[in-house]
Amino acid sequence: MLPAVRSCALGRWRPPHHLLPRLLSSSSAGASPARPQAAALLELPEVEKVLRDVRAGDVRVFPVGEGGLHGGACADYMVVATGRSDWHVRNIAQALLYKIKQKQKGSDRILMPSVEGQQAGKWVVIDSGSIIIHALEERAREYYDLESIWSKEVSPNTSVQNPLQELETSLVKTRRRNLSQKPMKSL
Amino acid sequence: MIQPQTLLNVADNSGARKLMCIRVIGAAGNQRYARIGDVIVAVIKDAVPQMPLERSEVIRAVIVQFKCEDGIIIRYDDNAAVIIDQKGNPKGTRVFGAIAEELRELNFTKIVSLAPEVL
Repeated sequence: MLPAVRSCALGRWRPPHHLLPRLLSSSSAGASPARPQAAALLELPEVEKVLRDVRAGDVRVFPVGEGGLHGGACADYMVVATGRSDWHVRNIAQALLYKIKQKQKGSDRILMPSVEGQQAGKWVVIDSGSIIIHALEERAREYYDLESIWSKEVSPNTSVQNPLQELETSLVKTRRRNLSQKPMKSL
Repeated sequence: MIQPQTLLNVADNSGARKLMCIRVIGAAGNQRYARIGDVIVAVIKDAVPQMPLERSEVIRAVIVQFKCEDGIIIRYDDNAAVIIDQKGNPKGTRVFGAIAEELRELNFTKIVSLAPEVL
């Protein structure tokens, strides 16, 4: 039902002017491989090379394109990398931004991706349209466990079991103990 | 139209169940109400037992589901929010329900990437 809802909603909805390029690029990514190269800020091999150069640990790539998770509406690839500390995570983001800048050096104006969480340094997201790069600190990566969302085998288990456990704990009724010192009134 | 005293549901697994908005961040002059993608300060009115968040705690939250129609793709059935901290990291590890794609333009990519479905 949801895809139908989505298509009809998209039919009715007119994107504002600034949204158009990204929407078009994300929807046509799977259908036509001959996408104009200028639209993509970063290519997947470049991202991997930069991440290797800054020694980001445990780099994993998840294809979440057409038919995958998020219905292909979000992006084509999710890249997850681990940094050893807040500094390292921030430097991973800096290196990727530097690479994007270097790539567009000759052109009249430089397009930069949106960066989120640069100050905190626990979880930095670089959203360059078709590729979304997550750089997480070790503990944050354990906590959020992003792999299990995007790999399909694990996600049903976690999404089914946890609410059930929550239900069990929340539905159990515990009688309050009577801690008052007063003697019981005889009826 | 979310303003102080509005009750909201929680759309993540952080442990809170009901929030009450007590302040809309950035509300001044022209814009007085919060809508999708706005940050609010809220009080936890109801919480799941044995979770880190407790009743009557003051937190920040982003509105992700909104009853009124305001030019965004979807209109939801309820008002719901996702709890974040001061730096913008979500408190819970999963977000429930379909999330509008506009949140990505509003720099909440983290919440979008935790969601099961993006419309």
